[in-house]
Amino acid sequence: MRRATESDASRRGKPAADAGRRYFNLTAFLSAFCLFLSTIEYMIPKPLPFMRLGIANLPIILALDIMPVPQVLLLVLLKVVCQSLVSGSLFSYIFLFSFAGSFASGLVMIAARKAGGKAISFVGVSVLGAVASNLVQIVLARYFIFGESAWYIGPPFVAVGLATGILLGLFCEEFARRSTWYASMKGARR
Amino acid sequence: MRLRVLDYAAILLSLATIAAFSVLVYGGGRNSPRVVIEGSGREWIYPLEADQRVEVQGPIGITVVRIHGGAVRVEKSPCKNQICVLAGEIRKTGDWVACLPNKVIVRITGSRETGGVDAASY
Amino acid sequence: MKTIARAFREEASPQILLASGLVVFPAFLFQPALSVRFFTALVFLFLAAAVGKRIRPVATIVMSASIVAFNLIVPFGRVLFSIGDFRITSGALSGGFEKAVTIEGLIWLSQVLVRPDVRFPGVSGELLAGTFGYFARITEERKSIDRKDIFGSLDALLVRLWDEGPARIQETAKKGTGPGGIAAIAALVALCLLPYLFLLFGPLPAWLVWN
Repeated sequence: MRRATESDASRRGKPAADAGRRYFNLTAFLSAFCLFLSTIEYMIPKPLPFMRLGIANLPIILALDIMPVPQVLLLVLLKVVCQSLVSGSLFSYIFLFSFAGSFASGLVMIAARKAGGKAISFVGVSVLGAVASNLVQIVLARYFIFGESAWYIGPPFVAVGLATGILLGLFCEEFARRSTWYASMKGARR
Repeated sequence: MRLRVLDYAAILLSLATIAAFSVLVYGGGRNSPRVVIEGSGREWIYPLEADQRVEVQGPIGITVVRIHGGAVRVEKSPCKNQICVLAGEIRKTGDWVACLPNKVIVRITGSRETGGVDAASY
Repeated sequence: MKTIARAFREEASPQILLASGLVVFPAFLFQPALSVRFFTALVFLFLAAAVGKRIRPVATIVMSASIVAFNLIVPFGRVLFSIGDFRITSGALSGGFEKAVTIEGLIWLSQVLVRPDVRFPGVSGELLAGTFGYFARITEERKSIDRKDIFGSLDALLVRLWDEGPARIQETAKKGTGPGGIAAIAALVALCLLPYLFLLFGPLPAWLVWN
């Protein structure tokens, strides 16, 4: 397959089917990118087992502006399922946590991007997503792991989400500004 | 890069969430009451919100304590006078009900004072 | 150990392993007797080790200990003993232990039954295959990501792989399910379901009642 932008133009006969195919590939492509980043995340040593930088969410943030909402949600689902297949955690609470956290942050980020328009950058989007994800995971930890005392680790956990959210958002902004691939994807959407 | 208006709003909202969460968790707002049951040198502790039936072996038999719907009562007692059963439910911190013949004491404490026995309430 | 590894890895297809998880997972999760749950988790641990999964004892112990410790903070049940002003209660202890056993057990179970090479039919299968195809390509090319120029090199990699299009992943020789695999899975399912049968016939012997 040639460059997606070219193939879009060259097959004007079936634009709908072609765009569908392209989004299908893009979903798989970004999901693979998520998977790759989570293997990198896994290699970074962390002081606490529950702490995460959330770099695997980078492709999801990038997807916000280059894919329609249903495809972004499909990407989130695909990311969660593939991660659990690779790490072999589908039948464990890890899957539940990852599923709930990813969807909370995905939905919040989509809403923030749609509602915020030009008044919000990836930094705000990513912060809201990270905080939403961590809040949901604290509630799950209350019921499935730590009991009532889970609340004690809540505030620092959310604070970590804020910090990593800002960092990830800055990285996304910079990447989106510089990347020619991202620019071509944005161009193809118009 | 320059942050935009709603970026600051998002960060402020997160900080406010962390602050509110902290006050709620560490600020004593969660001083949930507990039920302490003592009898025959043994001790049981439950949150008042628990739904639990506890059988306490005393010198004359088994006293049954029931924690349900945010209240505690002695459900059954082997004693003759049945004062503890007739005392009914207690639900406030500092309240207590006792079965003196069977040497069982049930009291409600704040979670921060579970440790020491408050002599003044006896 | 080797026979077990062969049965689960070579004589059972990833699909049938995943399907058996749909039975084993809830059977373990809803097992009411803590003792049975504990011994079942030990079997999962043994199986995970047998099929070659890396077991990290220190991480497991630290994780379990912190789960138990957190659950002890809110007292529940009979006071077993006190450390200073802190009361260790029976209900909080068994509750924390149960959660730790469940969490670790599910992780080991998952490691035995979930494999990345599982194939699904239809569009979902195509999406998964597409993801793993691209993932394999990114992993192959990861050396091209330059730490000094993360943005530039990452962008170049994305452009290159996207132009390349979806990778045709080679159909791996389809692993059939052999008698060894069927026996192994049947034994695992039986192990998780049989205790329920015993529970129907009355209470557990006293030495097995932990909670």
